[in-house]
Amino acid sequence: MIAIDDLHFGYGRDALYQGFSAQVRQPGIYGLFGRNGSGKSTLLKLLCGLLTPWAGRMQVMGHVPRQRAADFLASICIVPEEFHLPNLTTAQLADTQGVFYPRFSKALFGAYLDELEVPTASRFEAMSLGQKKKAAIAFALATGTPLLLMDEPTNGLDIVGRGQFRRLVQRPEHAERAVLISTHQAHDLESVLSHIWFIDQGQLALSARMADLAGVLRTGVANSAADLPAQEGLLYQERIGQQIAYVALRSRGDAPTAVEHTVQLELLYKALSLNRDSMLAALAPWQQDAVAQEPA
Amino acid sequence: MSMEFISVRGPESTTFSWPRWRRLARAHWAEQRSTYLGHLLVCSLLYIALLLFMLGVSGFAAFQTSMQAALYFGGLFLTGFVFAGRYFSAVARRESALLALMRPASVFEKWALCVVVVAIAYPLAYSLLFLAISWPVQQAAIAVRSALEPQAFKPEDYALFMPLAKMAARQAMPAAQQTGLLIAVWTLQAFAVAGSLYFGRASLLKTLALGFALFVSTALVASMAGAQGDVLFAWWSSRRFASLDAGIHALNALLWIGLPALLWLQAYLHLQEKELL
Repeated sequence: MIAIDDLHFGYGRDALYQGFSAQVRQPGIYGLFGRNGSGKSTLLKLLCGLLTPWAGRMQVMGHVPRQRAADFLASICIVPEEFHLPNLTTAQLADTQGVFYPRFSKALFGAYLDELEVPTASRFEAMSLGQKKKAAIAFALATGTPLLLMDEPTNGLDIVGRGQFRRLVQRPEHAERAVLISTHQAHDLESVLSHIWFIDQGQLALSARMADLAGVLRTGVANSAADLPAQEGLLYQERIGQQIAYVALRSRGDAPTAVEHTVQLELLYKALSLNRDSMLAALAPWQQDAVAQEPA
Repeated sequence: MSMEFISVRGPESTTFSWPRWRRLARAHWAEQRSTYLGHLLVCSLLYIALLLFMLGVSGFAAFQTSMQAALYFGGLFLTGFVFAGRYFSAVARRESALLALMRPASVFEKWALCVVVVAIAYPLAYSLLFLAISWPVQQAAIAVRSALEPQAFKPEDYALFMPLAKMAARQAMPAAQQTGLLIAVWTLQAFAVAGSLYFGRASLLKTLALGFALFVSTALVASMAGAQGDVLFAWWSSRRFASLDAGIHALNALLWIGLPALLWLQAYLHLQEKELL
């Protein structure tokens, strides 16, 4: 679905990506993480063909994105962080914009708007920012494009709205889509992500399936230092009041319990950001195995 | 349960598909309708205000056919430039640019829609509006002038100016000359569209400044080289009845066909190259 090989890109003379390579071979919900300025939004724009790479090869849904061919544009949808909706009603949006997408479903669009509680009679100008964001998300989900890109989709949504978003994106009709979500709101999405990408220093520092990560890493909170996992497997720790949050490598035979099946992304994100080298060194042998086992 | 989506449309040409172009036109109209109607409303109000001033000062004498033609083309040049420069205004704004650039249609289709709206639909709408306002004013001018100067008044001097129509009126602008002016409008519009896509911010002002600089420098170079105006406008002036040599034809072809075509091509290339920085 996506193949990026040796991508170089930057703004002005400042290089942002230097030899970035990544692939999306199977549908799923991919979380795109990285520190501010690491180039997450830029990557989404490059995938859409809105920016021209300096060098390297990019193929998205069998197209070179920069050519912005009509077929390519009909197979991809993006919800940017700074978004704009024409001043129409939701029905007018479906009638005038939905028709460009061969798999657009008006019925699903209506259902998503209902779920997100977006008023359908008003024009977008009369809606709040959060309502507009919900409408943009509902529309993007209803397009049915094989590839869906979202930049900070939960920004501007209230707590209820975030829950609604999680429910929608996990609906079965999206099972065959690749959804790339760039976000800092790790906690909002950790239960829905199937893969994570961690971008750092112009490279894809970590690409992993969440299920695999849960099998390799243990994240949790210990009541005291004595309750922490063994020192040799401990990759990151931080004090939270009287307790200590940690990220550790699982020892052999230490399978995750049902409760531990989700990696706490916020902790993992901090560990990768603040203790990058040790984390990547610890995960390197496992990552090589995972890449070798991935379907071509 | 996974829901399977079934494509309901057959394969469409990558460069130009008529159904897709119609969808593009429909979406464009739904989004821009109020802006366009607002533009026409402002143009009407400005024209009416100008007429009130001119006719008030001249006692309705300033509505002879030649003056109507000057008003028509002056307005078309000015408002046509502004309209063309604002066609891609959505692309100039970061958040709306994404929607415009990511709309599933080819660059050629987006460009072709621009050409149709800017160079065909706008002059037509402008002309209809011009006639709708001018006709009652012309009737009033005839009534007032015939009452004020019953002896000297010649109704044919106040004939309603019909764009591109062959008119018997003594002062009417020849249709060939009007064609030349219309091509000049298209050239200016292509320049405005290309400029609006090339410049990031304040594109209309920058395009206007660049156009002015180019016009002044070209006029200077032409006058220093001793270029004759009637050679440059040979296709549209009375010289067209005389046999023109190949050089004059070539120069006119370059100026009246080559230049607008080149500028519209430039607009296409800028649209193709447009990025979202």
